[in-house]
Amino acid sequence: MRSLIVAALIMGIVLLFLLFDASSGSSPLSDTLPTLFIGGSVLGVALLVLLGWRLWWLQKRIRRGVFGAKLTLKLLLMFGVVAMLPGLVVYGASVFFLNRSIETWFDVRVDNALTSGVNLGHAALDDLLRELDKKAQRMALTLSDEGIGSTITSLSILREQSAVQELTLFDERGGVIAHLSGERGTLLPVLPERSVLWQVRQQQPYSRIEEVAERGLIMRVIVPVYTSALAGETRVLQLVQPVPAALARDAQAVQLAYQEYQQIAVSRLGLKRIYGVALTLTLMLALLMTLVIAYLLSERLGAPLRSLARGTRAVAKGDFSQMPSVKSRDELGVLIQSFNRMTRQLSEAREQVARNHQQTEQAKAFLERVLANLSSGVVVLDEALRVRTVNSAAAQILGVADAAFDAHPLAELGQPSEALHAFGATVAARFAEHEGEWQEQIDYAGHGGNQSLLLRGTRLPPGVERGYVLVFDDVTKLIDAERNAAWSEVARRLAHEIKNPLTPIQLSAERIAKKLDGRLEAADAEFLARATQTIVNQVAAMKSMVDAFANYARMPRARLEATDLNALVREVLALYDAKALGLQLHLDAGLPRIAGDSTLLRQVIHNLLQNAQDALTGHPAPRVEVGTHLDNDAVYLTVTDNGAGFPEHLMTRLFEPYATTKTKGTGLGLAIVKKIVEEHHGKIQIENLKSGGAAIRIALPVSDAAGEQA
Amino acid sequence: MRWLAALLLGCWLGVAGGALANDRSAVKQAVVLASPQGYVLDADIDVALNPTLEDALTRGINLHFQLNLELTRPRNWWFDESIAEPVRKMRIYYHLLLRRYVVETGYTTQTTATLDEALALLGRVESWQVLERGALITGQRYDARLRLRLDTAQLPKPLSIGAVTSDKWEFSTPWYGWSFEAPALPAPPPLP
Repeated sequence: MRSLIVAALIMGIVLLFLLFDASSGSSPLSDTLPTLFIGGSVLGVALLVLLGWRLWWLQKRIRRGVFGAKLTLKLLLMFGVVAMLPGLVVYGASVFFLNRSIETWFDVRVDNALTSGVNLGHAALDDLLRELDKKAQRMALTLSDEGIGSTITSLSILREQSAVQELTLFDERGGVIAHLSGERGTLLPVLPERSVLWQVRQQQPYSRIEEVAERGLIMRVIVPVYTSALAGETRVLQLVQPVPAALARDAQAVQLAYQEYQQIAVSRLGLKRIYGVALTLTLMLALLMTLVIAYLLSERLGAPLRSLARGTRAVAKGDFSQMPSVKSRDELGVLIQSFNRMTRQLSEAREQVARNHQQTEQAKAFLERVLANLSSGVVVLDEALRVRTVNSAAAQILGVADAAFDAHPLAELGQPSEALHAFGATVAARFAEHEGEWQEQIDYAGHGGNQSLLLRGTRLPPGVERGYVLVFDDVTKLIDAERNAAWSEVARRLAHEIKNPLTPIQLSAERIAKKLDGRLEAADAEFLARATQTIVNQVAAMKSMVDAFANYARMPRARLEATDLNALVREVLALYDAKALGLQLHLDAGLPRIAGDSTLLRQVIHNLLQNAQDALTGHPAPRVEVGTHLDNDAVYLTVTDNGAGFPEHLMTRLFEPYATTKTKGTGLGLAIVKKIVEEHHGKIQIENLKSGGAAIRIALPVSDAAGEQA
Repeated sequence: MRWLAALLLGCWLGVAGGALANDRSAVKQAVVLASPQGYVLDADIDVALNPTLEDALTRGINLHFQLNLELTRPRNWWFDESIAEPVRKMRIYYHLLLRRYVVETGYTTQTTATLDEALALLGRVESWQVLERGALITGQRYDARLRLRLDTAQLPKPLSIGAVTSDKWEFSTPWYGWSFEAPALPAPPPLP
């Protein structure tokens, strides 16, 4: 494409040069002009086709929406207008002046002057001819009377007298009688044509100016020479006289000028036309070349814009690698440079954002991990006490699914009857009451029985986001442990303080009995014996009670081993009267082993059965169900009876020592069970059945080793 | 821009087909004769110039004419064989000083007082030596055609170029074609 244009341009320039050369050089209108015209036209058409093709291509690109095509067209049109206006103006002026100047060549006065010059020449020549004619007439008269003999002499004299260059006398048949010539004359006469001779003999003299190749313009007069004799023949005399050289030269010059002037006058239209065509061709070629160059230039101008557009599109798609290369040093180059800088900055900014985002994500993930692994429940609330974030521990402690919190206002959590609702309402009330931090311990009746929760509410400092944070812990176990520890201490002290005086009391009583034996009367002796026996027995009972307390306090630490719970249950139940208790076993055959201490667990089973037995004393149709089953990685041991159940007022304190319904007994049974279960990392739950009776459910973790064996 | 080019193109095309013949000019008669030196052509041509050419003549402009003869031998089933295409150059002009028309034909120059005489002189072709002896086979049929035309290339340059764009400067008789049997040649003249 480009080479084609360049070739066309070079051709055009060469052609224009030739055209100028042909029309301006020494040979004003060279032979090559028509060829040049044709060549120019062909080239013009070629350029036109080229231009049309490019325009068509451009239009196609515009229709396709190629970026920069419109700009190219616009620039092309602008260049075209810029080139065309002065071109047309100069063209118009040139054509105008050309016509004017050609017209000014032709002036009526010049025309008249030349015509007059020619006429002048005619007149001068005519004059000379007439003079020669007169001479000829005179000579003819002179000669008419001359005889043949004297003719030569007469002629010679006549020639001398009249200063005629050449005299020739012909006879009737055209034969030369005499020929006389001057120094410049010719040796041979110029023979007249037969028709002329004949014409002359008919008394029509011949007088004419002629042009002879070697001699230039000559005057030639032929006259008849009559003789007086009747029978004499009519001779013919010819006079030849050259036109004077100066006159001939001037006349020729005038003639030549006139001729040339006429030539130009005749070809005036042709000239105008030639110059017009040459001008038009030049204009056309120049304009076309300008347009073609304009096309190239606009392409060149548009190129950086196109690359810029490409870059912009790439950036819009998110590709920052497409950097338009900078070639020019003008404003467009600066623009591209700025664009590249901007792209680079954008790219860096985006990377920075991505990095920040990642960091934030990481921090968030870290925070969430920390929150998730926090044993405390954390609830983050917004300003309107709406739940924003809840960690899994919170849901776990409250015994609800995470979804229960989802963006609910705190006061509207759960169903109105649920414990969660009460919890939410309490917390909301506390936040409303306190400006800053607050702390409170509340009871929460969750899924696993009553829980003691320690709540700490904080208002977030006014910063980025306002809101509240609620942190709470399940302190049930902590409180239990504290209570247990206190009771153990009490039991130990009690045992120690009480046990010490018991032995002296017993010994004293025995000594009294021994000392007074035989010295008292029978009735007194018997009273003494009974009294001392009572003392001893009561002391023994007190001792055993104190031992029990001591045992509770000094409960051995559980040694956890893989244990078969079912076997243990069977072993213990064998000691009981199954019929009297109405025992029913529901043992899960596929039970995995649990991690437990068989001695302690045996005591647990004993205690539970003992409780059941005690509760069923005097019951008409006693029934005790003992069952085991596996559920969610925990083995459950359930003991259900159909007795009276536990009194409601004791329900929260059942596991404390001395919480008993029995008239006798230490009230340590369930406390010990609880303690053992906790040693096993298990859970215990007591509930009264609606059908009457009580159910005690113990969950024990499956042994890891047992799991592997199974 | 485009219409200009189209105009120019149209101009050229119009000129190419615009060689119009003058109606009144025609070759009236032409014949090839045998002569001792070979074959000669005698012809009689009516020459009538249009006002433009006449005007040019009176202004002293030389008019060059060409007499074109084309001799061919017809062949069956093939293109005609071209025998010869002799051209005779003639010139006619008005001599201002002599006030006479000058007709140059070959090597002879003749002057006449009037244009009609000059044109008659131009149109009378006598004993134009066109072929050497032996160029034709006696008794064979040949085709010939003849025309007289103005040699515009010989016009003064501005005119000759201007003539391209104007048919007023075109002059040509239509082709006059005839067929003849090559005549027998007389014996060559004895060498002196």
